[in-house]
Formats: sequence, structure tokens, C-alpha cells
Amino acid sequence: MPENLDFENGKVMKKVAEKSYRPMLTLLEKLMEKEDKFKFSVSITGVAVEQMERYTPDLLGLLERLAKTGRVEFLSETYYHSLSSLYSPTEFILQVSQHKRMIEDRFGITPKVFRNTELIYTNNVAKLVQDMGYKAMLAEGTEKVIGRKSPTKIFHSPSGLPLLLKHYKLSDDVAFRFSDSHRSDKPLTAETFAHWINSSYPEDEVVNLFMDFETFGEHQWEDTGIFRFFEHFVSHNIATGGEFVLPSEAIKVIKKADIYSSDSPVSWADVDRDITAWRGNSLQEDTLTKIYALETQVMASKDDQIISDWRKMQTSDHFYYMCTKWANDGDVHAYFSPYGSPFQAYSNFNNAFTDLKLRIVKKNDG
Amino acid sequence: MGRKILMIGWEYPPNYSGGLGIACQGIVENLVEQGEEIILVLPSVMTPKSVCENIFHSPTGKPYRVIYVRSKLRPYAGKDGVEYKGDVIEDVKTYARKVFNAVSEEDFDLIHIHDWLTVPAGLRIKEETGKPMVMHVHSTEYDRTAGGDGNKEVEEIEKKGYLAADKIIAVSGYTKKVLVEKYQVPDEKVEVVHNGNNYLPHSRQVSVDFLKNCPVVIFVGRLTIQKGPVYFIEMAKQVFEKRPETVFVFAGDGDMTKQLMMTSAFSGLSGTVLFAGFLKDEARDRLYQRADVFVMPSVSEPFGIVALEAAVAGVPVVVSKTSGVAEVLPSSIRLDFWDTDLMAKSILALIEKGDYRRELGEKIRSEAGAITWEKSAIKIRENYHQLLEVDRG
Repeated sequence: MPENLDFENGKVMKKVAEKSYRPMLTLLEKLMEKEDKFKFSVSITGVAVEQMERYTPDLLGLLERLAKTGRVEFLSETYYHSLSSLYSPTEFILQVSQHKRMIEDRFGITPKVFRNTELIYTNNVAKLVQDMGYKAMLAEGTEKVIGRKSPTKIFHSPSGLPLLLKHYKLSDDVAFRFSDSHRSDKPLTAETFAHWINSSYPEDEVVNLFMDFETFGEHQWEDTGIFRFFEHFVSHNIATGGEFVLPSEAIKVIKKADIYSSDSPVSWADVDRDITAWRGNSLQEDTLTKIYALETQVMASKDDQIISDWRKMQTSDHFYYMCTKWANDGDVHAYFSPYGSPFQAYSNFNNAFTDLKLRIVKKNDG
Repeated sequence: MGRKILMIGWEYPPNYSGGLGIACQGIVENLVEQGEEIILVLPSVMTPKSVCENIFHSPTGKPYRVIYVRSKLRPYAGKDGVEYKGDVIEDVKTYARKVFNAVSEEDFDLIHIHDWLTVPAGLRIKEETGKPMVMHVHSTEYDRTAGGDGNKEVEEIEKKGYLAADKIIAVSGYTKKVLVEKYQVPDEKVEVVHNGNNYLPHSRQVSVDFLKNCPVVIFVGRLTIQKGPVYFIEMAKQVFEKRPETVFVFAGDGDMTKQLMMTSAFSGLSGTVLFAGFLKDEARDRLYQRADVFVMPSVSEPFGIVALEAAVAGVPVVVSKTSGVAEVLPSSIRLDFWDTDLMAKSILALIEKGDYRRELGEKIRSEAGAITWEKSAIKIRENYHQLLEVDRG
């Protein structure tokens, strides 16, 4: 790709690095030194690593140092942050393997726990993940699936894969509501939050706080006090007897409880907790169907550039930008879109897709 | 000669969004070439003063005066389907008042107006000066709303124009028929003067190195009900089934853009139907020169200059029977806009039979080459002449 066309990627990566990635990774490194009982897990896509390599290589240095502490668990996911799990098992497995190799090569860690793009879960996906040898998978702790059961237990898929469920209420207290001016106990203090957590589950269970990395500094800007809050929360939690635990440890010490079962996709997105943010209108459905329909021809081309471009076009964000659900969630969508409207996003994807299609025809026929 | 024409327009190159701007320029510059003295009045959002005068030149360098009056009037402007947001009726009235004031000191023999937007201005000046008025009809509310319910105020204004005009120039026999049948205008009041063509695709070298190895079928025009874009998608769906490598391009924007994208995606045509937005100048040249077939499925099209442009570029043209341009392009393929089966069949034949396509392209290119604004201007001048004769007599 010519440099100028990549301008937007560089601009966004540098901006988010400035506001979120760099200050938060620096804080995490500081906490690892200060608090020897602090642990956390992180998931980073292959495309994000590629862009960091190109625009903000210092962040990779930070991540590599964190990996060396032995107290940071790197999760597995698709290299391209794609929805391939819902469309092509073959492609899904290839992308997960590509990601695994990248994490091993760069960070010297072999991921054991899987987290799918946007926490998308179906029973079939869980089966595929289990067959690939993963020990567990992350999923959304939504009432749609677990009813009134507590997400603090370890669930498992019908095929027997242990599942760590996101405690969405407590996660969203930080991710979405931290600086919400409507809440009564504003601003949220580390003490209050630790209290909420400790009153939410018995000793032998676990509260899974899963959130976008960008929560720190991008969704919640620095001036909300989010970084100070996090630093204080970690120390306070340890000082008052709270324990941090990594996903691969949690599944060993906490007993399995109920089955978590859903044949239709569940995700962590929007109020619907489904995949309508990526596949809720014709623009999205058709482009997704079309991009995956190319698989056989793409692979037949044996052309690395075509294969890599095709996979980059699977990144779920392209479809997110085409979302036309304009309620509360719509604001979130609009904020993160580089396009003026979902229709512009569609038209741009449509052009790029047509170009890719013609390149494949030329390659395979010529 | 010594004849002076007050011409009132509403869009003009370099700022235009549709065929009227191009037509107006063709008319004015060829009248100037043939020795008419023209004062052209136009609205502009950007004039530094409320009235601004410029001197423009015809292709051979003959000057004509252009008076810009400050006005928000841009009824079809806007990008990405965003239409002009003003109150068009109010802006038309304001424009009339400003034009009247701007030309109060001018001396002229005849008023020539274009479509309903300039009717209030023309009427006001005609009432005040008693000069004869020619109304040039490029489109009617019946066309723009595809025969549906038009805007009553707009209809009211255009009817006043048809009634008060001393002569009506219709851009096609089709438009004359609409005026006579839908608006009860007396047959003898209407003269047909077909549009000309000032599009020269080979005046510059452009690259056609895009959309390689696939047939390209194009639609050029506003994405609005009048132009029948929905039929283009229905046809595309059928052609796609037989020839999935075909690419269809919408060059234009309008109030239906979003709906058309949804319909296209719903029909499984992502990667097949492209939305290029409004194209002009070099981008438009490139599209015409790359295209294999041009389609204009308009529900009601007084003329359709874009079809002529495609023909000049040697592209076979498929147009609806309800369009004026077919009258001057005997080699165009004519069909009912709703008959998407036949449309798809005709386009498949053109895609599949290269010799037939090239032959038809050459034929229509030569037909289009014979259509000039020079000829249109001669006919317009005959009308001026008659009117002023009658006036004196």
C-alpha cells in the first residue's frame, strides 16, 4: 500500500498511543515493580502489532518487558480481529495459529486461553477452540445465557471447555460509567469499587473484569482521573486481601459449575450483547458474505499480498463502521468511525472489495 | 443586428450539479458566437457584493456579461446525498426581486428564462418592461417527480410561466408532449429545440487503467426517483446472474443514495454495483471512456444530455422511451424504463458480442457528432426573430 493511503492508520495509532497505550502500559509496568502480587492478562491482535511496529515501536518494547515478568498472560485470538469464527472454521483456525506464532515469536509466551473478537461466543466456536487445544475461553456474562446465575463461577461449554465470564456490571462501571455525571457516587473511588467487588462473590469465586484497553485514556480521558483510580485500586485491593489471578490459574483453582450454552452468537457489544453491531443490516450482511465467499479463490491465488489484503478486509471494524443502529450505541459507533456515515463506510469497502475481486480474477486467470 | 437578450439562469459552469448548467452554457456561448448580445444573470452564494459583474468569453473569445446576484438558490446541489436545505420557494422569490433590481438600469429586447426557478424573475421583469419572454423548458415538475404528486407551489409557478411566456422552447418532442398533455399548453406555442453537445472526450488524454478485465455498465445522473436508479439495480441483478464479473457504476448523488445502497446490498450486489458519487471533468471523462454500456432508465427525462456525452465517447446507449435524447440518437436502444428483463437482455447482448458493441458505439458516436449547440442556437435565434417581428408588427 502506498504510504499516503496508510496515513489514517498512522494518525490513529499515534493518537491512541499518546492518550492510552503508552501511559497505561507505563503504569502497568510501574505497578508490576511496585506490587509483586499484581497480575493481569492482555490480548493484542496481529494487525495492532504490525501497526505498532510501524508507527509506535516503543510500545512493543514496553509489552516485551511486561511479558518477561512472568506475571502477564497473553491471550489467544484471531490475528486479524475478524469474524472468521462465524464464517469459516478453516480460516478461523489459520488466523488463530498465525496469531499464536506471532505471540510466541515476539513475546516468548504460548497462549493457553482464547478470547474471540469482541468476545463472540457460540457453542460451535467453543468446540473449535477446544479442539485447537486451548484450556479455556472468555465469554460475556449476560443474563441472556446465564439467567440469574452469578458470572463469578467458572462455566463450561456443552463440549466441556471452561469459560471465564465477564462480570459486565462491574467491568462497565469502569469502562463506560467511570466518569458518568449521572451516577450518584461520582467520582468512583478505588475504595468504593473494591467494596463492590468484594461484596459480589464468595471467596472461592472470581470476578472477571474484561475491558477495552482504550478504556484507560481514550474512552475515559486522563482528566477523569482514570489512571490514578487504577493505580490506587490495585494497591488498595492487595492491601485489603484481594487477590489478582490470571485466567489460566483461575480455571485450575475454581470449580466448574453450570453449562453456558448458546447456538446464536453472543458478544460483549452494545446493549443487545449480540452481533448486530457487525451484522445487523444488509450492508454488513452482504459484505461479510461476499468477503468470505472469496476464500477458495483467494487461497488458490497463492499470492501472499492478495491473501494478506483479503484478511485485513475481514477486520471486524470495517463492518462496525457500517452499523446503522442509531440509538445510544450509535454514538459510540460514530465516535470510533473515520467515515462520515455508515453509507460512506460501505461505499469505501465496496470499492476496495471490487478491486480485490478483480485482482484475484486477473491472478487466477492470467 | 443590435439585439440584446436578457438571459436568466440558475446554475452554470464551473458551478453546476446537473444538465441544466451544461445546457445553459451551450446555449449562451453559441448565441454569442453567432453575434447575439447576451446579459446572463445567475445566482451565487459567494459574491462579495450583493451584485457582481464579470465578463466571460465564448470558446473563440467573444465576451459576454455575467451578472451574479447573491442568492442561496442551489436546489440540487450538495454532496453525498445531502440536498440543499433552504426554503426553495422563498429563495426563488428573493432571487426574483434581486434580479429585478440588478437589471433595472439595463436595456434589452427580449427575456429568455430557464425552468420554473427563473419564472418569478422573468414575470416581474416582463410586467415592468413589457418585453417578450421566451421560456426554455428543460424539465417540468411532472418529470422531476416521475409523474407522481408534484409540489403544488412549484407547479403553480411553472404554470404561470407557461401561460405568460410568448414562446416556449422545449428541449424535446417528448417534453412538448408533456407540456401539451399534462399542462394544457397550446401546441402552437411550443417549439422543439433539441439540446446540442459540447462534450469533447478526446480533448484531453485520460487514463482508463481501472476496473480492468470486466465489462463496465454505467449510470450517470442524480440518484432520485426521476432518473429510475432502482431499475438500474434490478437490471444489474439479472445481468450479474449471467455475467458475475460485470461491474455497474452509479455516478451521481441524490436523495436515494442510502436507499439504493441498502437495496443493492440486499440484492447481493456488493462488489458489483459501485457508488462513485457525483463526477465531473476528468473523472467523468475517464468513466465514459472506460464504459462498455451506458444506461439511462429515466422515468421521465425531458432530454438527457448525459446520454449524448456517452454517445460522443462511443459508448452504446440504452435509454427509456420516456426520454427526449432518443429523438436525436436513432441508434440508441429504446425500451420501457420498467422493462428490466429486456434491459438486462439488451445489455447482456452488448457485453457478450464485442463486434456488435463496437459497431453500435461507432454509429452512435457519429450520430452524436452531428448534434451541435450551433444548430440549437440557430433555431433559438429563429424564435427570437419571429417574436420580435410580431412584436414590432
